[in-house]
Parts: sequence; C-alpha cells; structure tokens
Amino acid sequence: MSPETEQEPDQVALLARLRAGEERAYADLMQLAGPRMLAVARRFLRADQDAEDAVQDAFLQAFKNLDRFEGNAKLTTWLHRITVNASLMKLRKQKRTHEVNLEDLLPRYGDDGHRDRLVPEWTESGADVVSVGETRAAVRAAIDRLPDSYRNVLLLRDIEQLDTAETAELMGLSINATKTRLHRARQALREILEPHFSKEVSA
Amino acid sequence: MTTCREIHDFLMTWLDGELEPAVNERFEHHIAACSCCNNYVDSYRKTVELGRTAFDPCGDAASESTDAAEVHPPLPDELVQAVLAARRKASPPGDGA
Ligand SMILES: [Zn+2]
Repeated sequence: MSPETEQEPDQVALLARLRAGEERAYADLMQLAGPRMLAVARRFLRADQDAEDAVQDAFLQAFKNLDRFEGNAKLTTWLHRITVNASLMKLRKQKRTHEVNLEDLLPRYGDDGHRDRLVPEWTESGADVVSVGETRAAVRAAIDRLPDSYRNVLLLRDIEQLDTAETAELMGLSINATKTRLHRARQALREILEPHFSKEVSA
Repeated sequence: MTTCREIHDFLMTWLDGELEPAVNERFEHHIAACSCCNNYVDSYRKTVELGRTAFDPCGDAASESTDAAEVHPPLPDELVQAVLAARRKASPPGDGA
C-alpha cells in the first residue's frame, strides 16, 4: 500500500479538471471513487437504498467542498472519510429496534478472576467451514450481531483503518472510550466466533 | 498477582505496547504460564485478523488485489445520473457569470 500522502498523477489531473468546473470530470470522479465508496457505505448501512443515498450525500458534499480539499491527502482517501461520515449520519437517523446488550456477548468470570470455562485453542481456518468465502461470511454475520455503537467502532478501526483520534471524533467519544469500545467489540466478536474456530468438537 | 480477567481486560493495551514496563513483565509471565490466557491472546489476535479480512471482495485467496476500484462493481447508472442532476441543481452552470 502506498503512503497516503503520495498523490497519484491521474488524481492530480482529475482534481484540476474538477476545480475548473469541467462537467465531465464529475462523472469521471464518480467512476473512479464511487464503487469503493458504495462498498464502504454498505458495511455501515444494511439496506442498499440507504447505502446509495449515503454515497449521493457524500459526492454532493465533496463537490461542494472541493476548494477545501487540501492536496496533502489522496483524493480517494478524502472521499473515503466523507463517505464514512455520511454513512454514520444516515445510520444515526435510523434506530435499530432489537439491539443486543453487549454484556451478554462478553466473557464471564468467577470471583477469582478466572474464566467461567476453559478457553479452547483455535484452529487456523475454522473447523466447520469449507472455504475462505464462507469464513468471511460467518465473520461478517458475527460483526452484524454487535450493538451499533460497538460495531461502528470496530468497522472504523479494524476495517476502514481509521486511527483512534479520527474514530473518536466521528463517534463523538473520548480517546479512552474509543479504545475501550474497540477492545470490548473485539472481545464480543471473539466470543461469537469461538464455536466456529474452537479445536474441541462442539459440546 | 495478575488474574486472567485482568489479562483479558488489558489485552489490547498490552498488544499496543502501552503497558508500564513492570506490569508488562507480570503480563508476560502470566500468559506464558496460563494456557487459557495463551489461547485467549491467540484467538483475540485471530479475531482481529478475521475482522480485517471479512469484507475483502472475493473469497478467492489467489486473487488478492490492492486496487479496490477493480474489484467492486460500477455504480448503478441511476445513482450517477441522480448525483449529477442534484449537483447541477445546486450550482447551475453559468451561475454568477
Ligand atoms: Zn490466565
């Protein structure tokens, strides 16, 4: 992966055309960055229509703020941030009805600080899955079971690869709360995945 | 003395290298001696890695591609047209000229 500060020549040329207001350049930008933006929006928003709306919001915001784009990031990286933000805004407008309590997904301990049961060793690829595609689908389904406030932090940090400060800002959390939430989300995800990856034959 | 629960609670801090040196040493002693925590650390790491790759476009490990634009389907044409139309409405050409 190239460093984010490195400008790609075709993106520099495209930016110049956009700033000149060339009509065709808008369509070119959508073709260049749009497919990935839609994939990002789909991770946060479950309905295709919502994801497309978020991408539309993101593009319109980007077009409006083109002169505020500083050349020190890649154009596509800048658009990625705008898309994540537009997706979170959209998500905030819809309340999920059946949110699980994270506590129910976290490990339990006895008074002596030991786990309530032994932690099994995990296999390399998952004992009961036959393909990489199936493994990934199982992990996506597991992530989807997390409460939104935890799922979003996990998506932002581990999948969208934003840093802690950026994630904290987008979520309106402190740095420490962001770290705690990421750790809890990973712990809960680990518990959900354990039956798939445990070396012991499931009891 | 360090309990398994403390190990699990501060695992991310430890993996990020943010523990005090003295605590760090106690951590590593405990993990080396406790198979439960050993398995927990290992499976936590695997969980992070599984999450990281869960949305990779194709299940085929052979077609690892870093160029995301090539692996995602193009935007629906209606979406492209809708955005372009909304943009023209927001700032009509010749505006202010
Ligand atoms: Zn232990």
